[in-house]
Amino acid sequence: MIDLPGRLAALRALWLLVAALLAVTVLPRFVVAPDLVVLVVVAVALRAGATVGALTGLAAGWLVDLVPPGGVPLGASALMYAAIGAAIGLAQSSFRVSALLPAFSAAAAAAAVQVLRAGLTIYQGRAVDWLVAAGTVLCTALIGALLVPPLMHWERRLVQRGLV
Amino acid sequence: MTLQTRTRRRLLAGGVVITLAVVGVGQARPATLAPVRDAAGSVFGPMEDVLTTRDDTIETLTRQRDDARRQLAQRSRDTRQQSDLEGLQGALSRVTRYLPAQVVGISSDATTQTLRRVTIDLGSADGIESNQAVQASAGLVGRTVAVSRHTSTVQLITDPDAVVGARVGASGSLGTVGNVTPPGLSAREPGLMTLTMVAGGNVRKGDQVHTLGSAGGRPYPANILIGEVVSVDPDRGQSGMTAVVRPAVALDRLDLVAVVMSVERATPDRILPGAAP
Repeated sequence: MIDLPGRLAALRALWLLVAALLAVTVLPRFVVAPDLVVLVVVAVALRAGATVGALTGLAAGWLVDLVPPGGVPLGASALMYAAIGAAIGLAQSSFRVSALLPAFSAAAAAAAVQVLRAGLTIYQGRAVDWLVAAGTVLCTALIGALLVPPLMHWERRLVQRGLV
Repeated sequence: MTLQTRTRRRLLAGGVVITLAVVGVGQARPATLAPVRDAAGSVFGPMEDVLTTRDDTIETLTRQRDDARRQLAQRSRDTRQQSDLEGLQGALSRVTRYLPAQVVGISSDATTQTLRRVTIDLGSADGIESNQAVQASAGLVGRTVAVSRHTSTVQLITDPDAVVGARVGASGSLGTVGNVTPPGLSAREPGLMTLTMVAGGNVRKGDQVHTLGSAGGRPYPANILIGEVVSVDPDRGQSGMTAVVRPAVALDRLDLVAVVMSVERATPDRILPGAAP
């Protein structure tokens, strides 16, 4: 028997959508901006484990690739975010719960995104701005330390109250 | 109500496989995925629009500037055409009826840089026939040689095939103006023409050359300025004296011209001046 995705999945999809839309509308005005999408993936993966993390990452990547102007090649971001979600989900079971875990996870995930993107850019024969990449990782880690714990906490409370 | 673990794993595996397939297709044939992107654009585009706070100032200013530039260009074009028209009216005072026309195409001889023909935007629908004189405010341009419904081809006076009967200087000696250099003389510069006097005629540098005119003003009415004599050729045994004529009209910058439709008769006591023919 196949269950329909729950309301929790819908809530996560909404977060992803907001993050993906903000990433192309508001955030490009700043030189260095956090990767909000990866933060949502990290938050979900830290709470729900590898499989859900990977699924969320897949959905997130598809959103990133599809929301105009979109990513090239189509689907590459989906695989990248899925791998990141799975990795964070696997890693969270091996670490003690720590206040620093969200920040480290966010930093690692953002670093992975930036390195993969840089690899793709170099493969396409263009120059990589390493300073901006490093700034993005740092910024994502900082925002992640502030944003991921409340996100997880909020989700947990909603689940406990049976609201989602 | 959440998904079971096995369902989730299947979903994940399926999603990854589909994604890999899409990446493969996208690499092999990117155009296949264009509909997907179009659909995504039509779904997410409006959402992005809502989230984007737009500063209209630059857009408005740019549009205003472009509008102003366009108007200015239009006005200067209008002014130029107005002065062209006035010039034509002055030059065509003896012509009872003419039609202003715009030059819309040119053809030149690639090797000699000689302008041969231009196309104007009037045709048989406007009452144009072949062998009508075409002139600009400064002087003679040529005559119509081929007429289609909405355009006509004008043979310029610099066309090597064109020959115009001419009256030269104050004395009114007769000659012909053409663009074929007589044998024994070096080739003219592009744009200069040759005046050949009938035997015995005399010509001096600076003489004005006007059309001789034909009956009914076809192809050329009388007394339209063709150009000015810039030098007289040395005698190399030509049948008549020859000279170099610079056309009065800058034929390489033709814009507004007039097609002469009808000309006053030479006997004005029969028809009142300015009366409709």
